[in-house]
Amino acid sequence: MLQLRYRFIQALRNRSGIFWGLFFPLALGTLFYLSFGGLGKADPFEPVPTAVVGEENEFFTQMLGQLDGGILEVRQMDQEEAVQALEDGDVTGIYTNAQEPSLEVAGSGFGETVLSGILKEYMQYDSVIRDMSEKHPERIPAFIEQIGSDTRTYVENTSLGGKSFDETMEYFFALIAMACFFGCFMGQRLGEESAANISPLAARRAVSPRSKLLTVLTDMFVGFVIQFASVLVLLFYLNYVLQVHIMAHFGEMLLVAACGSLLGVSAGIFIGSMAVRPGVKAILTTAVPLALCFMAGLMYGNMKQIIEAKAPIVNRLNPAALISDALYYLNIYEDQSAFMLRIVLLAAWSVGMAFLAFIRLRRERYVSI
Amino acid sequence: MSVYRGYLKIIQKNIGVLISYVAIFTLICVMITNTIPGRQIRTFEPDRQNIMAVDEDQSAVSQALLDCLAADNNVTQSPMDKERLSRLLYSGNTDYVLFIPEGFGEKLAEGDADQLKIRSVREPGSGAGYYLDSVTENFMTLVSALLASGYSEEEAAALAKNSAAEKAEVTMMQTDTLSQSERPYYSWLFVYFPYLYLSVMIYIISYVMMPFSHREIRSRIAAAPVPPVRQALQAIAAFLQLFLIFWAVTLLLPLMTKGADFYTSSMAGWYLLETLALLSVSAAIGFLIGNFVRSEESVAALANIISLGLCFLCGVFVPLELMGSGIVRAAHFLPVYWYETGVETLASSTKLDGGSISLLLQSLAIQLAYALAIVMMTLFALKKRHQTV
Repeated sequence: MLQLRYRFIQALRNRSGIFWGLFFPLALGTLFYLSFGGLGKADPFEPVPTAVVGEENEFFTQMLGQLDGGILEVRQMDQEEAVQALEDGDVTGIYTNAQEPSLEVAGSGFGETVLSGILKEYMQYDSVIRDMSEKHPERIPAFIEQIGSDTRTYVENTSLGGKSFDETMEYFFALIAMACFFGCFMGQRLGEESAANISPLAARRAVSPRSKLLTVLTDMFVGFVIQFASVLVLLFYLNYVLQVHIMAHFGEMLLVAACGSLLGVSAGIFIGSMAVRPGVKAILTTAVPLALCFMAGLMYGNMKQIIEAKAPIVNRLNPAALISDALYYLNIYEDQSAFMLRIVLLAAWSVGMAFLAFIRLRRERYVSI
Repeated sequence: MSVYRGYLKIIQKNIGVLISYVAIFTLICVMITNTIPGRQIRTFEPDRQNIMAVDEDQSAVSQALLDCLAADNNVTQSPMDKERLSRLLYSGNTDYVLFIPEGFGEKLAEGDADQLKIRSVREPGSGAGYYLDSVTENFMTLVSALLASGYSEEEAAALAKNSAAEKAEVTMMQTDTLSQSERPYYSWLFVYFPYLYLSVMIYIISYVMMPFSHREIRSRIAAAPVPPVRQALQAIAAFLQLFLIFWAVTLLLPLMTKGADFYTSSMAGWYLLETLALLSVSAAIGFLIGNFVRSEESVAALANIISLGLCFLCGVFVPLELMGSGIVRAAHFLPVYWYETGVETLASSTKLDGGSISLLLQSLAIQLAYALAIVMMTLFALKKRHQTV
């Protein structure tokens, strides 16, 4: 118990480990919150601003009138005004309301596609009425009356079990994965203080009469508890302070945090006990987790989806992607089987890395240190 | 030239680590750029969405609806598999899922469609999903109106499907301004350069300068017969060599990101100037940190905080138009914001007018001013420190 207590105190005095495991994720989370102020909170569909020149075609005018305020934001202008507005980006397109309506756009994006779709819909009705007037002109009045009076809805929006998705959540899930991984800084110091060929402190600890097994288990337990507590602080900070709601299922969140923390700390212990240059250790503990978290969407939110489309095996092997996926299935799509698969893979990584760290630190004999 | 050779020795000793950092951050930069869809030619093409359709009705109406959607989108038919469809929506392979229940066509023909509706699943938060709902509604309204006016189910479906083949007359305005989908592909690489430059410069300069932070070494150098000015000049020569090699390497990156047309672009000269300005800012920040940091852990901490912080706040990872107005105003005080403004001006223009050139010169001047200010600040702090050696 005494060794456990003193090891806790030693670990808590490891400023580098506490900074990377606790304060850096908090700072980055705050930065994300400040940066993403305009994302995810706006309406999912903004009306497309469009200029209309002329009023020659009554049917087209009527159609645009019905869409105004919904899918479109219609602005009546003259030709010169409309061209200037399109050049300045104030409108997405210009409808020329003539007998044969046409559309002029300045790019190929979603807004332009909507405007093109509306024009195509008008062409569709026009084609139907022309066909009807040739073959069944007596049906036209009933057709027009039905079009004008039909208020039914034919499409019902539903879900496959998912909640509304704020695209910034991918960044926060990757951030939690990174926080778990950065337990490797704490683990690195613990590993260095346990490998006798790395530090004098470890050499002194190695010649003590205390069981090596207990020493190693104590170090891993201390590192895990501190890192797990750091991740919990991050989760509470994101959920209750920044109001990023990510704790829908508290028990399962604890499981994800525990597996991730164990993985990070164990990886750190393994790296710390390696007899390599400090620069190499710095790359392994900083750049590699950063690269893995980048592939899980830390810097570019869609990266994980892109990798899923092109090489899904990478996401199954990337522990950061497993953590991010597990959080997604827990908070958004609530798919238990997909969540359990990720947890099993993550647990396998964690246990495997802990085993490797343990093998690295077990009883060792040195010809010379 | 002993000081110059001394710096080169330190660089040589750390070359493996330095190359590793350059490789990792370059890889991140290139991977992000390569995920961006290729540039479209300047004609209008509608955005095609990926639709999964579960058609349990298999009627003339349902087939006509799917054919209509397939004219402007990529439609794939699938059996009902909730788990698979969830995964496809989550992974982004599918934008929209449509369920057409059995008997829908029949109910529609009887005028009883209220009892049985088509169900859609949008990607959560998707604007395209709302639009596709609207397209589906409009098609069904058309078919319903045809049925009400006396057409049979097959006739109504055929007429609606044929009318969907009509093409809308859309012309593209030729402007000097390029939209997001038209900007040159290589411009995306330059957008992400701040992350690469800041991270690498901070690591490189800090690793080289770290040995000089030890008091004993500073004392020995202070007692050396080489005048301080000559020491500084030789140090600058060594670093300049390193910076120029790094800068040249980054200018080869367009070849790795389908941006070979950069080298023949009329804007290439301006891009080079912007990257040089960015390099000077990054080197200045690296110089500041390198002179005061004492451990590799501190280097890693500061490199990550500064590079990620500046990149998120200045519109590198998240476009500025999507950020809060307060953050954008605050970003005006950061040098990377002005680099992004310069690159954005170059990327969205086919030719530069007086206003654009003025903006570019402003961007360059502000970045160089920041670089100079940071270097002066560092030298002042160093002078204060050296007085206590």
